[in-house]
Amino acid sequence: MTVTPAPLLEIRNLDRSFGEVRALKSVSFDIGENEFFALLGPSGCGKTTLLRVLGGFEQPDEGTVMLDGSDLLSIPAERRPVNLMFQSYALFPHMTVERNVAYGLECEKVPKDEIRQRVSDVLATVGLTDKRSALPNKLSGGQRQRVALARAIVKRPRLLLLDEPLSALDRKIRAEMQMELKRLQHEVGITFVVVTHDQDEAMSLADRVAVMDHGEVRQLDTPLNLYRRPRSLFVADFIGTSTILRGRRVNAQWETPELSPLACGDDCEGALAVAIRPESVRLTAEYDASTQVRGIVSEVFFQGDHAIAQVRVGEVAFLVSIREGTLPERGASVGLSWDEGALIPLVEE
Amino acid sequence: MRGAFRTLPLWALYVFLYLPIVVVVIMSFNASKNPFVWSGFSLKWYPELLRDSEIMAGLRTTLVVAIGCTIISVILGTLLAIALERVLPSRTLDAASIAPAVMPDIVLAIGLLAFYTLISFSLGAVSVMLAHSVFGIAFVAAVVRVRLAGMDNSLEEASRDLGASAARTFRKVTLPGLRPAIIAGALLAFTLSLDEFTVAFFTSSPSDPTLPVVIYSRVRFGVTPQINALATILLLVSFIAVILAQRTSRLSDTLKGGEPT
Repeated sequence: MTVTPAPLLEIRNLDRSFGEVRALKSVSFDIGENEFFALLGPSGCGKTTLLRVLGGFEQPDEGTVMLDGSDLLSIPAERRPVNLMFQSYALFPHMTVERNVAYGLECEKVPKDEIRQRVSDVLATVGLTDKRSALPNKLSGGQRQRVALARAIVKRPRLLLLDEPLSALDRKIRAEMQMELKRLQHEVGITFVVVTHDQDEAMSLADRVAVMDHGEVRQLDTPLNLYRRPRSLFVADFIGTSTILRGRRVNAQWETPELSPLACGDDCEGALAVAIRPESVRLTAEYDASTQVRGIVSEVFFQGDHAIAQVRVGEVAFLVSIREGTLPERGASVGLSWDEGALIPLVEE
Repeated sequence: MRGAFRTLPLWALYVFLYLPIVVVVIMSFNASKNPFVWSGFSLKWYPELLRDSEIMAGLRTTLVVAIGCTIISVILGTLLAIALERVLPSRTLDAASIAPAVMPDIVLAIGLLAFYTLISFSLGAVSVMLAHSVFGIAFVAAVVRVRLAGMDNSLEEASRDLGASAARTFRKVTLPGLRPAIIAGALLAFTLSLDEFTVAFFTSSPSDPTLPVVIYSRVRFGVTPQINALATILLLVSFIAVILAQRTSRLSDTLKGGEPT
């Protein structure tokens, strides 16, 4: 999915410092209507600050945010057409599920009949109709999250912000909620912005992902492109696993201090390093004409549907994904090969 | 048997703590006018209290003072707690807020008397009420603050996010969350004011003393069974307040339980 011609949200040159720390450094990007967008980065990268700026709980030092073409920053949090689903869910402990969900509509002075209708509709959507009169502490983690979600979407915001939506759930419910979130986003047609440090969460949910580090957006792209064409060492390292070889292109070959030169394409010209994803590497017991390097298997990690072998070639540890056939023995001498296009050029740190 | 010996010091400690109180309660049922000689069981001292106009007047003053002090302490103490926890966090202000609760009563009493004299404030139920509020506010603020600190800040943010004004957030989210602490603080302020002597002695009017001051003026000429009966009633009131305070705080734990922080 690509950016729609008229973006819903335009973020321009946002700056925010806390003392010495610059949490946001001139952040600019657009979010399209009905997009499922993710802000991904390690803790302290500025993603939460950005989320709080959008929610109205933090003011930037510099920059503008336009929603539907009008200034968002001048509107106080309680009047923004933006809702936030808190990481802790922040359900009101003394109110029933129904009262929690109705709260935002009561603030808007929506007529009582309409509130009743909309609350029961949204509870049906998230599948909690039978829990309507329960108190939050009687609910499971997944149910609490559904209530938090229902409470936010019942307001029909232009933008729904979700702070680490799956981090408090255990593994099984996570997968379930992940699908649920996607379904809901399609169903209600609200633009979702998820903040997360978990790449799986961002990659599986979002249409587009902004990878942040030290207050900057390092790369903004679809999950597929982020994985296949990371621009920087940071993104290549943060998303997925890969073998990274620093060096430079000389005479159509990649020269790296630890290995003999490797064949590489024109796109590697000017790169700082190249990355090789484990699944682009083929492992062979015997060496043949296609073998690029030889090494010794040092570890094998079994992961269920595939295994990752670590192969030492001099100082470099290559990661190889093995999907079929027998797993190599530790200490075995093997050959590694890949197609020329497997080298991903990284042009930034 | 060995276990009993090992815990003997514990029981001894409890005897030390409760023996004087038990003696007072028992002697309140003594038929004899001599407080040191037991001459049979009687309930006559209790109705006697009702006929004692001095004691009844003292009780009335004390109740006016304690109720007024509770109302002032709850309102101002809660606001103080919110200011210190959410609006203006400062270690100095923190320390200054708890000081009246731990300050020696006699210092507070002398200071207040000097202050009232300075501004020519006439002594009476109101002067004692205000004096008791000085430490009442500090106690309520301390209790409410603990609760506020444990309350998820994002609840209030969530309320704002859902479109509630600051006033509505306070009414619908903050206050219900604080209710157990406010009730506990109110009971604390009430019981503290009820039996406070030193400050009341200095700041009350001689013509309108509080109950503890009345009791003191009586026992100077020896303890009477009537006073024992009064002490027993006061004891009962304090116990009920403590139990109520504990109940509400336990209720708050069950409300909080299961809510991730």
